[in-house]
Amino acid sequence: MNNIVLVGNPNVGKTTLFNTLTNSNFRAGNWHGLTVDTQSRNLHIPKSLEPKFNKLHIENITITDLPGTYTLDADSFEEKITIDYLKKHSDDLIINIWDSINIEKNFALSSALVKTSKKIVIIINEISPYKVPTKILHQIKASTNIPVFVCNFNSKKSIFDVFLHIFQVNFNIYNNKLQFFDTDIFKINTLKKPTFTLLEKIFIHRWSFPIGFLFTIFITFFIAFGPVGDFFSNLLSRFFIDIIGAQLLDFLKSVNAHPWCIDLIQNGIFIAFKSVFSFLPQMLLLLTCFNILEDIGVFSYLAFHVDGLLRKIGLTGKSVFSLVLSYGCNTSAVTTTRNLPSNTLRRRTILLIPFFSCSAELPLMLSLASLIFSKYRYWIVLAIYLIGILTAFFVALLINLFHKEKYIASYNVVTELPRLRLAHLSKTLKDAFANFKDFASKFVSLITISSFILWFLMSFDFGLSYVGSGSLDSMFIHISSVITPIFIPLGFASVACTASILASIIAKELALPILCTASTLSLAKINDIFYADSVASSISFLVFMFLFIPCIACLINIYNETNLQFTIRVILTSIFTAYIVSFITYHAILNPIFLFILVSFIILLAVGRCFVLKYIRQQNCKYCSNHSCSQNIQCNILNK
Amino acid sequence: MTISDKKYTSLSHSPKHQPLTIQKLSPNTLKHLNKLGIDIGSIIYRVGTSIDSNTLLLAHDNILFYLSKVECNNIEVCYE
Repeated sequence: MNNIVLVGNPNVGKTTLFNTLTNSNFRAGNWHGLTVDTQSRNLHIPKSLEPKFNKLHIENITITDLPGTYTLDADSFEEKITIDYLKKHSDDLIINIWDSINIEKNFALSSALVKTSKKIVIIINEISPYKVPTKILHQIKASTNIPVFVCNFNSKKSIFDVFLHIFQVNFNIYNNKLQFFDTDIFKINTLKKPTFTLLEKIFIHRWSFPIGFLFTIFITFFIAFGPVGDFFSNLLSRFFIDIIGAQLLDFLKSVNAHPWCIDLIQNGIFIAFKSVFSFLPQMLLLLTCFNILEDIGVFSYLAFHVDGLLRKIGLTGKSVFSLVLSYGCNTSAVTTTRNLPSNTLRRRTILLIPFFSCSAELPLMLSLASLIFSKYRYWIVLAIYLIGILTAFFVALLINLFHKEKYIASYNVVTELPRLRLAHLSKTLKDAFANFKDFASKFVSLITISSFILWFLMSFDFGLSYVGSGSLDSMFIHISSVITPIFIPLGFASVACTASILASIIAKELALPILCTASTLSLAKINDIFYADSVASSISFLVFMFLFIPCIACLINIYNETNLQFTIRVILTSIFTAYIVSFITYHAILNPIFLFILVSFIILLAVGRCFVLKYIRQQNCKYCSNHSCSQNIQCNILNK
Repeated sequence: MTISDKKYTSLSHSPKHQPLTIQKLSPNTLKHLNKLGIDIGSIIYRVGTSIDSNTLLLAHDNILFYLSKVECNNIEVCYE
């Protein structure tokens, strides 16, 4: 037995089990369709249990995690991956995972798996408070010849104990029977009325949900950017300035380092590191809070509540998962669009992902918001997030106006909603630290190389003579001066901003350090780079950076998931939208009359659209010829 | 919360209304319901409505699922 594959319905805990068994950290959350590809890793046995496993000669076991599926004749993209995998691979053992929330729901897949004539074991993930009734467990065991185990996936010990038993099962005595799933003995479990926790009652209700959700988001931002975040941020900042910075300078002077070497380390690498690492505690807190909300299942309820709204702009509630994930990382969010039912929906969602800026841009937002609007920094960060959401909404609305998705009503009309549960704190902390580790390792390697290149461009002229950091004769000033005038209408036409924008294409993590290095200013004086109206200019700059194209890694992923033509469309849409929204933001802050004219224009457009729609609705439906029918789409479906 | 205020069921459980023809539910919906282990004739409760009222949250045993109103309109005759 060398290959074990984990199969089950969506959101039963496959990835959680996989992470525990292989000591991995793949993303697992309380919503459906998070895993959209296969993952394989070797079984990682804890040292305390090694003697027990060694007795059974267990070694080189590969575990494979597959996307969730309800049946083996499914038609969605990620379900097909599972089905294709099971057809092509002859794994030694299939572990069919059930969840205890509704036992009956798992029967369809299990009965289909039995037909594959492979060795099967069932593990029931006992999710609190849904205990598996002993009567039902006995019925399952008595009626089938498949080994059945129950364990809680939050307990590592419980999981490995079950696996010790699995490796000792003698499969020769088992004879899988197909007909056991057709018996009615399980119906005892089906007529029970659902019960809800207080939190579920709040999040189910149409009026209490917006209040509860906004309160949750406010608390999240308050924790991350409030006293707790500030405390850790100041601590790290002082550590860099007072201890590391001073010691480094003393050391360089004591060894009589060359002036350009001191310049490189002090104005190049050190500023870049300090600028970002000071904001890492706040970033870590925000990611942890988002991970907790994800683990509780709050975002699934958001998907339900905005499903109808999103359908009006050509998306569905399921798009929310990818859009929320893009706050963490745009690149992985693009991959998760695979769980959307049509190519059009996938492309529309991918097109909107750049407007939900990833966490790597947080240090830039936090630094500018803290320095220029210290008292109102929460509101500025929150407002920029809101501008991103509104921009995405308007872009989707515009696309839907010109290219209406006719069959939107037929996509995913039935979507399962997970029950809310308590977040597993150690798991969420582990996830947050993994994100932090990824960010830090990527940042250290990228920043060292890019700071050096940028410092070189800023300190040497085209004749490769050292002219001093930030000199007007440097190569960098000459190159940037060609691009910089483009940003004059947006209010931030400085070389440092141009460098930051260009660097963010390589990686969003570089935006702030490059801004600091390029401006050759300390972080405390960063607002000096915004000439004239620093408030309007800096907000305009932040909005532009927030909506600007994603990093190269994300663009490559978009190309892999779609094609070159669509990738170019994403780039052009992002640049054009970022420019327009940034322009509007800058002039709206400078001149409130501009804002008034703009809002009036939008209201006029909306009213005009209502009149046009009213005229269209007065026409007879082309499918049922009913004068009052306005549901051409529905009629179309019924006619099919 | 009272969850039994509105209840969906099949015709066989609903003497008040005209027969519900399962053809009125789109094949896509039926397929999804079957995937979740819900057959026509199962008792389904309405437990919530989305902010814009266009999507309904339904419950069958401990399974929660949401269904767009376009589809729900077709089974409205099943209100008890």
